[in-house]
Amino acid sequence: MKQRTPLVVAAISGFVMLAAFFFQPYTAPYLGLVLNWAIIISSVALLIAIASLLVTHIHFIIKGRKGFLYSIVLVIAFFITLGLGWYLGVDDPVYLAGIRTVLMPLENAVMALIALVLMSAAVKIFRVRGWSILTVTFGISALVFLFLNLGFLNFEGNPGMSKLVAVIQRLPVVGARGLLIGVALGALLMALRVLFGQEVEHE
Amino acid sequence: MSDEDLRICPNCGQENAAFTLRCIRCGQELEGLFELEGFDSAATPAEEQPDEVVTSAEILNSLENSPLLADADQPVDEEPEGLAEAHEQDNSHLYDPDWLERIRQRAKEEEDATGELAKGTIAMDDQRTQEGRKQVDEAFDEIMRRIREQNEREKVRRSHRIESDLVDENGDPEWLRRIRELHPKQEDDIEESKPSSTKDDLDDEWTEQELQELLRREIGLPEETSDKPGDEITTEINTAEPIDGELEPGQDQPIENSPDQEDETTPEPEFFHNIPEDDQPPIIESEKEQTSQELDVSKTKDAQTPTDDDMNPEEGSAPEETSAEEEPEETEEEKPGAVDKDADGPQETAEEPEDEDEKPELAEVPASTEAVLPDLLMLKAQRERAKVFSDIISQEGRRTIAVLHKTTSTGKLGRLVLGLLLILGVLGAILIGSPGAMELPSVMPAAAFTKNLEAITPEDSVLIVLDYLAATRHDIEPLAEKVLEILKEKGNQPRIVTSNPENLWLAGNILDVSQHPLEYVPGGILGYLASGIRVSPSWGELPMDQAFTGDPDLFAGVDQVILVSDSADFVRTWLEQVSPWRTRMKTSAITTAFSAPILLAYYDSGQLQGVVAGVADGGAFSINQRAFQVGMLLMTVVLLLGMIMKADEDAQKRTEEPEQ
Repeated sequence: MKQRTPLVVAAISGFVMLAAFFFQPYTAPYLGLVLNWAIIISSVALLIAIASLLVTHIHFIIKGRKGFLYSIVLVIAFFITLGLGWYLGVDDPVYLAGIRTVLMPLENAVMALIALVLMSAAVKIFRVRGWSILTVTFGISALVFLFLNLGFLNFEGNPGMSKLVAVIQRLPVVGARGLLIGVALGALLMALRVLFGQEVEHE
Repeated sequence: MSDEDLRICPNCGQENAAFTLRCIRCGQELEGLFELEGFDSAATPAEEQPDEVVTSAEILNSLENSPLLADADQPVDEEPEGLAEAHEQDNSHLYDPDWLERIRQRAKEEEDATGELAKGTIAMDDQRTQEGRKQVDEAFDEIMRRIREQNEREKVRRSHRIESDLVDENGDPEWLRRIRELHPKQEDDIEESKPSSTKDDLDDEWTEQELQELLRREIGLPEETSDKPGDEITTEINTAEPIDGELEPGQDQPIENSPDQEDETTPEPEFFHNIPEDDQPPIIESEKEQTSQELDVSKTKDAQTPTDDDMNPEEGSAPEETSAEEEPEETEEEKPGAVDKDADGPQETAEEPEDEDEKPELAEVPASTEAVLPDLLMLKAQRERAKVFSDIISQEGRRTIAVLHKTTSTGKLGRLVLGLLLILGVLGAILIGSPGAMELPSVMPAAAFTKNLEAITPEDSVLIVLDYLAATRHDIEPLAEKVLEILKEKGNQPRIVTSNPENLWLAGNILDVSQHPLEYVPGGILGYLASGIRVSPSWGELPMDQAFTGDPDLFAGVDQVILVSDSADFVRTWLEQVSPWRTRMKTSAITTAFSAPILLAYYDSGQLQGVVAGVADGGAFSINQRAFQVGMLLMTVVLLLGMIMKADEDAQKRTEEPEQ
């Protein structure tokens, strides 16, 4: 009974929401209300997560656990951001510019590193993996699309080649459609399993 | 409570109270719970145990018919004939009439009601004793079964260990460890170190024989004489059959000893194992005396010597052989007289009086291959290991295992050059030359996006939704900035919202926040969905309405929605969940090249009016693409270089292989 109660509640909620989508004119107000509840609950959950993160790192600092210096940095940065946001306001241009100055270089550096790693991997993949169907396919497709995106080739005067290039450029879309179909089928099956209690995540 | 009242568990040795049914430590059922006074089970021969089983009916019958328990008036000597026959029958069944004598004696002393009760109780106790004996037998069988199972497991484990321990954690093969064990110090300290080390090694390895002895001691059974080897003992030792002739003693092979010899040298049963060479010093003396001819013959005969797998563990003489094998030097050094006793064996021919002089000298001999060679030739496995050793020596200095990732200074330098090349190329493309767009073929989704954007009039209500990260801003912000410029030129005032906190400060890169206020929608995609299906309930305001500074209805009168997102999932969810609630809205997207393939499917289905993906599609807005172009070119070159280098390596290998 203890395990079935949340299962039954989840299944009923799912079916109610599903019915609300089908009977929109009558159920739309209730659907909006439930969504508002969900937003509030998720916001509170976010606050709890932040508090948990903070408490955990403060605990690390008190215990002097290995790497607690990073925890000190995190806690100090958190309180500075919180204090400035509280004091200046979240719409303050200085406050926003300060965060932007820290955030953007960090994320851009990570992306640049990814580019370098990809280059290094492109060199190594054949040496490490050797010649296989996977590596050869990867190499050929990468070279083809890199060439096409270089802009050095222009087949506007050649309709046949233009069509060929267009067909090649559609290949990623074909693969993406396959992915989407798979995702949709998987989501449908998962939803049905959840609705009928076959998938119990809380266990 | 005195010691006599305590009962020692036969399984773990724990002292328990006399009335305890099971051991308080191991839970073993305690046998002999109610013993008759004076009944000494230990004195009972093992052979007579089956005869001990006397039914309670017989005992009670004997008690009732006993003249001692009869009326006091009746003289004891006047035994009826029937009673005499019963006595004879009892004597024939009961192996020890002592208890009966005690009962009789007691009956003489206590011929009152209390005495009768005591007799009855004693009779019951006797009955229980018989049951207890059965329990003892069952417990004994159970223990023996467990010991056998444990022994079998040990065998399997050892065989695995032998196979897997060819090389230890230090990278030393087993043969090398054995040679190291021949160090002189170990020879000098053999008297002290060897027994202890042997026991240390085998502390956790109780042999069946040892356990049997322990069990016998604990349950009080008579000890089995050494000249009667237990039939149930299954030796774990590889007992190679002795080789005829003089070669046998020189080899470190299990030596077959007679039981008498074992009695003289090893009164206690030895610990057995199936690695005979590990814990004993090899007999090098005899090996040194052997001629090369003998060695050759030994090789020939050794090939006929059964290996570990060929040994028959069920041979009755196996334990004795091993015990004698494990202690030859020990017994010789501790008991000089033992040499005489062993003189008739073939081994002693090589260990005669010269042994005393040769031993220290030989102990100092370093573990050379020649000296240890006969030892290594003993078993097939040893020969194989010796062969591995010789192979290793022959391959010294060569690489036998290919190194997949060898980090060299050249490799590091190449990586540095690669990175510098990329950085310099991008910097050069940005700094040198005029900015310009690539002459890429026109992309239909991008063209559709441009066309849709041009169709927007100043009166149209446009909603721009921001949802991207700082990491992808360079792929998105140039396009979004251009779109905002075009809308501004058209005199359109779009409404800009975001549910991503990161966009609250990133928006400052693409728009003037003072002129275009950015609104935050709590709840992520749920917030957009709640706004999309927004129908004001009759009972009042929804909580979300409090969060908006402007009109809570985000989509009220919106004609165009431009999604600025680096996440294909966000756009997909929007199209599948939010858009169906507002069917009159036209949706288009600015995204990254990474997300474009997923979203192009929605463009094909008409759910997206247009898609412009990253800098690659920036030609539609005349965005500078030189750095992007240089980066792509460098990636192409690097990929080609990797393929060429691999092909070159393969060609070199092919040319080297025929030469080898």
